[in-house]
Order: sequence, then structure tokens, then C-alpha cells
Amino acid sequence: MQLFNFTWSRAFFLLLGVLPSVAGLVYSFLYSIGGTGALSTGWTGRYWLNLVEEKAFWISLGLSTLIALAVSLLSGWASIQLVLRWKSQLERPWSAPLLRLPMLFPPIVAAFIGYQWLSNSGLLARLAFLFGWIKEPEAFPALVNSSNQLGIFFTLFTLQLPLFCLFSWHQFKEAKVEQYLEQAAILGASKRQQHWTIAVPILWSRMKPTMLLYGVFLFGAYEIPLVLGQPYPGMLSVFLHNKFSRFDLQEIPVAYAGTLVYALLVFGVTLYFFKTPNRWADE
Amino acid sequence: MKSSNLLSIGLVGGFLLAILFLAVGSLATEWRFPALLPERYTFEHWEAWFQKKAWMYYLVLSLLLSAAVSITAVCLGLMTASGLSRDKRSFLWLRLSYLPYGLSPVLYAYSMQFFYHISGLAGTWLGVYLAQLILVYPFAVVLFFTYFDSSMHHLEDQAGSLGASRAVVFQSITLPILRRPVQTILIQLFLVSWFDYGITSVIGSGQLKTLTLIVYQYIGESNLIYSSLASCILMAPPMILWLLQPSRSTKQDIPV
Repeated sequence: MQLFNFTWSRAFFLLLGVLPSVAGLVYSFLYSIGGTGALSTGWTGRYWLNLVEEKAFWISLGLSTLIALAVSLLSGWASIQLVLRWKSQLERPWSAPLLRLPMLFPPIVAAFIGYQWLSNSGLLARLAFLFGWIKEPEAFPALVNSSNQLGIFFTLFTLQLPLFCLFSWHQFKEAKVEQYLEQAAILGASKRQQHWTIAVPILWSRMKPTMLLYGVFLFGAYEIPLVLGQPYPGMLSVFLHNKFSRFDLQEIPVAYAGTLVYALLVFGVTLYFFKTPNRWADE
Repeated sequence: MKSSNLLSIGLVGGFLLAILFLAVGSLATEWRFPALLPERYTFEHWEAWFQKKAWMYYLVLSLLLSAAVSITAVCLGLMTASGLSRDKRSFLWLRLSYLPYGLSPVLYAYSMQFFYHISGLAGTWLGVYLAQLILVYPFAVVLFFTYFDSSMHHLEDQAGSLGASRAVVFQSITLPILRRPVQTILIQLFLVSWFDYGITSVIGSGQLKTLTLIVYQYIGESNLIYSSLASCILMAPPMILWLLQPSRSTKQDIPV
């Protein structure tokens, strides 16, 4: 006795939820093999070849993977450590709203603040000047628009950590870790053993799907690398956006091929990890 | 223990400081290196911003766009999840709902840009509305899916077997139970649309401006004062919602 019967729901869902994505991917594929597009001269594999031979694409892909993994895994790990230390504070009613603070920041604003704080004339550089650590802005280490990508990492990590603390705290309650710890204490486990052999492994395995999901989002981060990253090669979304918006029309099919690689990679990883729930229970 | 307390203060304090930074930046007259704080403050920029009709026009349109996208997505998502959850292979539908999230919004927009161009929707508010709706609708389905579990089905079926029509069941059983989730999901989808930059910039073809695009424009011009000011306005709706419902904790906080 649902409002919408199944047939209608399915038809509607396929039309609005699935068809546009599939149509977009099919169009991208056709464009990338010369089947359509402004300069299309017939089927060809040269755009894919161009993509594979382009060093900057692989650098972008590697960079996005590295940043997504580093931010996701490190903030996941840090959140577990913090939750286990903050147990008593997290029980307080104001802790959850405070941990939700990063959600108020649109990525574009976070990128702006990241720039204003981390650049060599930013707030941190001004503090360093005040304390006499630097004599001129150029002496401040390059964190934004530099090849070390640290500005992107710090900004994404800072936005991610409080949210992951919220999720880890939820898992802590859901898995009844406190009870396990009490039992272990009764059986004579030291604080260190309780922490490293009971609490951390439970939370780590329960946080893995969340880390993966956010890793996928981070992999596709756009606004923050756009403002804080290097213009070239940059993270994958920025790299492909630059290709799409360039005047050289020959770059567009290559950009569509890159988009497909991106999509296939994300779908592949997600399907592989979400296929069987047991995959998370390895540890 | 002490170090973790320091870290917690630093983490939360950092975000509050960031909000304060935006407020101070928007009121500054000049703020050059190495000054830690602006030399003087003024409300002139705020007055100028609100007197400029074009900016107010974009602000109202941005609000209307996000409201329209979120309300439509919630209505459609609710109805679709209600029907799809009845299927034995509901996990398959749920998995398909994640399809748009395989790509970052900006690339998703590029992959569909062609269809907006041929239909004449590129560069129009309707086009951006549709593009954002297509992105958030599957998200609404995913979020509502969790609430249509066996106990909800059981309640709906019981009411049905007692003679209630579909509309009555929805009005007096489903909606009252889902009142809070509907509110929360509406807010979440509103914010997804409100924060969007990638889709609006690509499908809008540079002809439309939402507040996020205005912030980016100011950032590009290295205009600290107006970037801060527009950021403050952009953050106002989520901030109001955050202040109004400080202790709310929902299922949606947990993505998996």
C-alpha cells in the first residue's frame, strides 16, 4: 500500500536517476572514439592513445589517488584515536553540533580560507612574521599553488577530520566498544592492550566503508584543488576541466576519454569493495 | 589527555576562527601583509552589496533555485523510494542510485553538456535546475530508502488492509513518521544545491551567476573584502540552520 507502485517508481527512477548518467557516459565514449563532436572525422583510437601517452594525465591520476588516500586514511585513523581519547567529551550535547561545523563551509569558501591562511602572505605567514620567524613573505614555505600540494591536503584533512570523528563516535556506540573494553579490563588487559588490540581494530574495520566512500568524493575534489593547487597538471577534476575548456578542440575528445577512465576507476573500486560485505571483515 | 584537549580546542576553534575571519575580512578597509588585523573597519561594502540590484537578484535566484531543486528532489525521492523499496532486488536500485557519484559534479556536467546544448537548456535557469535535480534526486532516493524498511511496509499494509486508500496511508501513516527525516533531507539537498559550483558553471555556460560563482569570481580577482563578504552570505543559510537545530542527530550523519 505504498504511494507509488513499483512499476511507476522503477520507470521514473530509470528515467531521472539512471538514464542521464548512462547517456552522459555513452556520449563521452562516442566522443572519445571520434563518433561525434565538432571535429569528428570518423572512428579512431588516437584520442585514447593521446591520453595514454600524456604524462600529465598519469601524474594527475596519481596525485588524485594519493591525496584521496592520504586524506581519507589519515583522517580516519586520527578520528579513531581522537574518539577513543575524547569519549567523555563526546557524550556532551554540544559536541556533535560542533563536529558538524565543517559542513557549514561550501568547498569554494573552504578553498578561499585555505588560501588566505596558508599562502605566503596569509594569516600563518603574518603570525610567523610577528614572531620574527620570517622577514619577508617569500620566506614562508610554499603551501598553496605549489608542487607539494600541501595546501590541498591540509584543507581537505581539516574539513574531513571532525566529520570522521562524528562517524567514528557513532561506530564506537554502535559496536558497543565500551563494553568490550570493560570486559577486557576485567580479564586483565592493560590500557594499551585495550586500545590497540580491541578498540582500534574494531573501529578501523567499521570505518573502512566510510573511508572508501569519502575517498571517492575526495578523489573527485574540484573547488579546493582549483584554488589551492597547481594549474598544471593539478588534481584529475581540474586537469580534465582545463582540457574541456581549452581553445584547442582536439583536446575535448581526450578529456572525454579521461572522464571515462575516471568513471570506470571509481565504479570498479566501489563495486570491488562493496560487492561482498565480508571484504571488510578481513582484519 | 591534555594534548587531545588542546587538539579539540584547536579543531573547533579553528572553524570558529575561520567564520570570524570572513566577518572581519568583509568589514576591512585594507588588510595588507604583515598586519594581523585590518587597520580600519567599515560597513560600506555591506551597504554597497545590498544596494547593488544585480547582486540581490542573483542572491534571490540562488535561493529560489536551491529551494526548487531540494523540494522537487524530496517529493520525487520520497515517492520513488516508497515504491522501489518494495522490490526484492531493492539493493540493486540502491546501488544504481550511486551512479552519479562516480563522477565529480563538474565532470558529470561535462558528460551531459551536449544534451543541454541541443535542447537549448544550456545557459538557462531551467537547465541548471534540471542538472542539479538529476544530481540530487538519486541522493534523495538513497536517503529515503533506509526509512522504508519492513516495519514501515508492515504499517502501510496494515492500514491498507483496513481500507485506507493510498493517499490516506501516505498522509496519515508515511508522512507523519517521516516528518523529521523529510526536514533533514530537505535541508541537506538544499545545501548540496546551494554549495554547487561545478554544475552551475558548466551547464550555466558562464551566462548565469549563483552566489558560489560570485564568490569564485571575487577569489579570481583577488578581492579579499568582497570574497569574504560573499562567503559570509553564502554561509548564512547553513549557519542559521545549524544554530536553529544544534543538537539534532540523524541517520543521515552516517553515510554507510
